[in-house]
Amino acid sequence: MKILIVDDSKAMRMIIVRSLKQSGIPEFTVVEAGNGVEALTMVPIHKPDLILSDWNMPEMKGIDLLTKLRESGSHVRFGFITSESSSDVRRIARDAGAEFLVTKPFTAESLALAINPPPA
Amino acid sequence: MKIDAQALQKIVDEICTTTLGLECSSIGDFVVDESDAMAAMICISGGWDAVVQVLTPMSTAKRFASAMFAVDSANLVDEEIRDALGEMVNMVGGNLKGLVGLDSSLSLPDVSMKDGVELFAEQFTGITTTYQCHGNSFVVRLNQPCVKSIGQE
Repeated sequence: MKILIVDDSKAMRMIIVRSLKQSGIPEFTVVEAGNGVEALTMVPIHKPDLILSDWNMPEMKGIDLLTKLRESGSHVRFGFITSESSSDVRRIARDAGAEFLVTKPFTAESLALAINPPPA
Repeated sequence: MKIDAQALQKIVDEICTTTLGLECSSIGDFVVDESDAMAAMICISGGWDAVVQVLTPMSTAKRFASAMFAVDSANLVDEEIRDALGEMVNMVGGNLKGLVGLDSSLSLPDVSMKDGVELFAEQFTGITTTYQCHGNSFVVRLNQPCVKSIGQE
């Protein structure tokens, strides 16, 4: 699985990578973007299987990144990792096509469950 | 949802434990030395107006960054320390906003070194909580209304 991590915080990108390694998700590679604009240019090049994005970023917010991807016809899996945890934000994320929203701070376990939820 | 010191402490404790892997405990009065400090601020505006500030001695900020970047603090650069402190206040602010549950916006974090402490000293009359994290102390404050600018370094 190729995962694109989008967060303006390099510290948080590193935390996410460590959590992914700890989560037991097998055989994944990571590419990173510092904001939504950068991520938009990287998607057609790297063709990620999953995008993990922050919500609040300079240049372009995560929700705007998701909206633009869906408008372009992309169905790439998309999840938010964000300190935003309100029900309004979750609803907006879901309506825009996000698969999940993980709230910071998070554990490797919660991240793994979001990315690979158990079968219903 | 009422935001009191206990709610704030619970959020800070969870961030320290989960993100930094560090045990954190509430302590009594602690005054940050303005000559060697960092301040990070984030604003919440809309249905709920508030400002959250994290004040730390440089040593504590370096400890946070060391944990987040998984490197020795001696190998950190200023930008990384700012980044780590910005993420700390971002998580505190976001979780508080989620607790309150009103339709509000979270700003981007604003971080300043050394001179930032003086700016906030007289403006905070809300909740002040102090912590110790593996020998490193810091302050987290919550107040209203939202201060729109942080000033210069």
